[in-house]
Amino acid sequence: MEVRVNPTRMELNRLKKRLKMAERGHKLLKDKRDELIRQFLILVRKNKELREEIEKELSGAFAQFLLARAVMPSVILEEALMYPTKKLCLEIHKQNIMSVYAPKFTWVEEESTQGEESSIYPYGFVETTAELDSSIETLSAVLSRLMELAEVEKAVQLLAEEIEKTRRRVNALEYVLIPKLAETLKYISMKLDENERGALTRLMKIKDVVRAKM
Amino acid sequence: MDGIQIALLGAALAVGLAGIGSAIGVGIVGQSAAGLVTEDPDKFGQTLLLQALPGTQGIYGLLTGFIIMQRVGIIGGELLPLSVANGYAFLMASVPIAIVGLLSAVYQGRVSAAAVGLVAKRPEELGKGIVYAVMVETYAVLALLASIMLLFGIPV
Amino acid sequence: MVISDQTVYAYAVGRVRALETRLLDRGRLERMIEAATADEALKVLAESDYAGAVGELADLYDFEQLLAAELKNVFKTVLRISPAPDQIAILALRYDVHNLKVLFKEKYLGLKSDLLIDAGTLDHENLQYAVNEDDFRDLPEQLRKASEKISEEFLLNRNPQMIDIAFDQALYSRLLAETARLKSEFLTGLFTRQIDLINLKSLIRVKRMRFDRDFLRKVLLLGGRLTPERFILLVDEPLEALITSLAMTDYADLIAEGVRDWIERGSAARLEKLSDDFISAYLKRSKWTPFGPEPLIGYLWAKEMEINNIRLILVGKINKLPAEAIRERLRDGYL
Repeated sequence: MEVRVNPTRMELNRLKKRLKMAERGHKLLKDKRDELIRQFLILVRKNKELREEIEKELSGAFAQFLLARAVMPSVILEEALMYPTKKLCLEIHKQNIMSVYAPKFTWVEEESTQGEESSIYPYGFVETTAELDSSIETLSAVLSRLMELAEVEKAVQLLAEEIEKTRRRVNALEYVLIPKLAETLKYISMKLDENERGALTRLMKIKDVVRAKM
Repeated sequence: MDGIQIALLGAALAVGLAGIGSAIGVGIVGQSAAGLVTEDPDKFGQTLLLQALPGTQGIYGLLTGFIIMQRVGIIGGELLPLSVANGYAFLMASVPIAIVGLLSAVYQGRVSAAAVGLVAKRPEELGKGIVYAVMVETYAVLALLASIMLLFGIPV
Repeated sequence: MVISDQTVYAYAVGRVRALETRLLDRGRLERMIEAATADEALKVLAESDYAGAVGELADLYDFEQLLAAELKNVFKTVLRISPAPDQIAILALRYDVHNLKVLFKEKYLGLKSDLLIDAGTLDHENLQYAVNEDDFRDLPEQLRKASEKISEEFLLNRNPQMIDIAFDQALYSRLLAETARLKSEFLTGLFTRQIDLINLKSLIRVKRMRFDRDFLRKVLLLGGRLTPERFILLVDEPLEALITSLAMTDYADLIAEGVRDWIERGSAARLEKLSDDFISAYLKRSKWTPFGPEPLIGYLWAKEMEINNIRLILVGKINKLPAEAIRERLRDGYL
C-alpha cells in the first residue's frame, strides 16, 4: 500500500489521534448497529404477525366481495359503493427510532354523514346482496390495522436501510481506515527509526573522521 | 213478412255467425303462429295446420245455409210459397250451428293458439295439440247434425 | 263479449313461446360450470343464442357489456311485441331508479361515471337535466317526491344510504300504484311477493349490522303481503324466532331452509337463491296462460335470471371459484 505522508513526529502524533478516534467510532457504530438490529427484529416480528393476520382477513373479505360481485351486475354494485360514508384523515408525524425518522400515522375517521344514524354501509337493501355486507364490515374493521401495518412496514424498511448504512461504515472503519492508519503509523515510526539510525550512523562516522584527523 | 224472408234470415245467420266465429278463431291462431314463425320460420307448416282447424265452423255454417237455400228453392227451381210458420221453422233449425259455430270456433281458436305454444316447445307433439283442438270441433259437428236433421224434418 | 280482450296477446305469446325455447337450459349452464377456464365457458356460451354477441366480444373481461346489451335488447323486443307496453315498461322502472341514484350521487360527488343502464324507460338526458336543475316535474309522481326529498335533505345529512333507501321505497310504491291502475292482479302478486322477500332479507341484514328497530322501520318497504310490523317485532328476537313466526306463510319453506343456512354458515347465498326461485315459481304458475301479459313477464324474468347466471359463472370462472360455490348460487331455470 502506498502511503504518502510526511514521516514526521508531528504527523505521527496526528495520525495516532486519528486512529484512536477511528477505533472509538468503530466501537460506537458497532453498538449502534447491534441496537438497530435488535429494534429491527422486534419490528419485523410485529410486522409479520400483523401482515399474516391482515392478509387472512383481507383474503376472506375479498372472497366475500367476489361472491357479491358474482351475483350483482357490476353497474349496480358500483352504484351501491359510489358514495363513501366515511372519510379518513391521515396525519403523518415523525418518530425517532435510533435516529431513524420513521413515519407515525394518526388518523381520524370523519363521518361524511351528519345524521343521527351513520353506518359504514353506503347503500340501500333492495338491489344489493347481503353478501356485500360482511365484506364491507371486514374491510372497514381491518382498515385501522392496515394503517398500523403500513406504519410498521415503512419503519422496517427505513431501519433496514439504516442498518445497511451503519454496517458499511463499520466495515469501512474496520477493514479500511483502521488498518490503513495502523500501517501508516507503522511506516512513519519505521521511517523515523530509520532516520534516527541514519543520523546516529552519520554522527558515528563524523566522530570517526574527526578522531582520525586529530 | 213472408215466410221466405224469415227462412233466408236463418240461412244468413248460419253462414254469418259461424263465419264470424271461424274468422275470429283463425285470426287468433294466425297471430299466435305469426309470433312463433317470426322467431322460427321452420314451424310454418305445423302452425298452418293448427290455424285451419277453427275454419271448419264457417264451412258448416255455409253448408247449412246452402241446405236452407236449396230447401226453399232459391237454388235449382222456383221459390216455394212458404208460410210464416214454416219460415220460423227454418230460422230455428239454423240456430244450433249459428250459435255453436260462433262460440266453438272462437274457443277452438284459443285452444289452437295454445297448441301453437306447445308446438314451439315440442314440435313432435303436434298431433296431441290437434286432438285438443278437435275435441272442441265435436260440438260444432253435433250442432251441424242437429241443424241438418231439423232442416230435413221441416215439411214444405 | 265472448272474446276476451286478452287475445290481443296471441302474437306476443306465440313469439315468446319460440324465444323461451332458446333460453339456456340447466345442461348448458352445467357445462359452463364444468369448463376448465373462463374462455372455455365462453365457448360453451357461444354455442347458444349468444353466438353473435360472444363473437363480437373483443376481450373476455368485457362480458358485462355483452350482458347489459342483451338485457336492453330483451326489454326492447318484449316492449315492441307487447300490445300493452305499460305492463312491461313498469318492469324496467327499476333501471330508471338505478339511473336516478347514479345521477344524484354523481351530482353530490361532483364527478361523472359510466354506470347508467340503458334498459330504463326514461331518457338519460332528461334525467340528467332533472337532477342537475332540481326540476323533477317530468318524473313519475313517486320518483319526483323522492327526488325532492333527497335534494332537500342530502346536503344536510350527507347520508348516501338515504338516496338508495328513498328511491327503493319510491320504486315499489310506484310499482304498486301502477299495478293498481292497470288492475293487474298478476303483477300486484309479483311485487308484493318481492317486497316481502326484500323485507325479510332487510330484517336479517339489519339484525346482523346491529341496528335498531327505528332504522329497520326506515328500510322496510310498504305494501307487501306481510305488514312491516311483523318484521319490526322480530328485530330483538333471535333469528330462529323468524322461522317459527313466519311458519304459517307461503314463505315457510324458503325461510326455514334459507335462514337456517344463514345462521349456520353466515352466508345469505342460499336465502337469496331461494328467494329468486320463489319468484320464478310464482311466475311459472301463469306461464301457460294462453293469452295475456303473464308469459311475457315470465320470459323477461327468466331472461334476467339467465343473465345473472351467466355473470355468476363467468365471474366465478375468471376468479377460479370452486364449482360448488357457483352451483349453490345458480338460480333455477324458468323452463
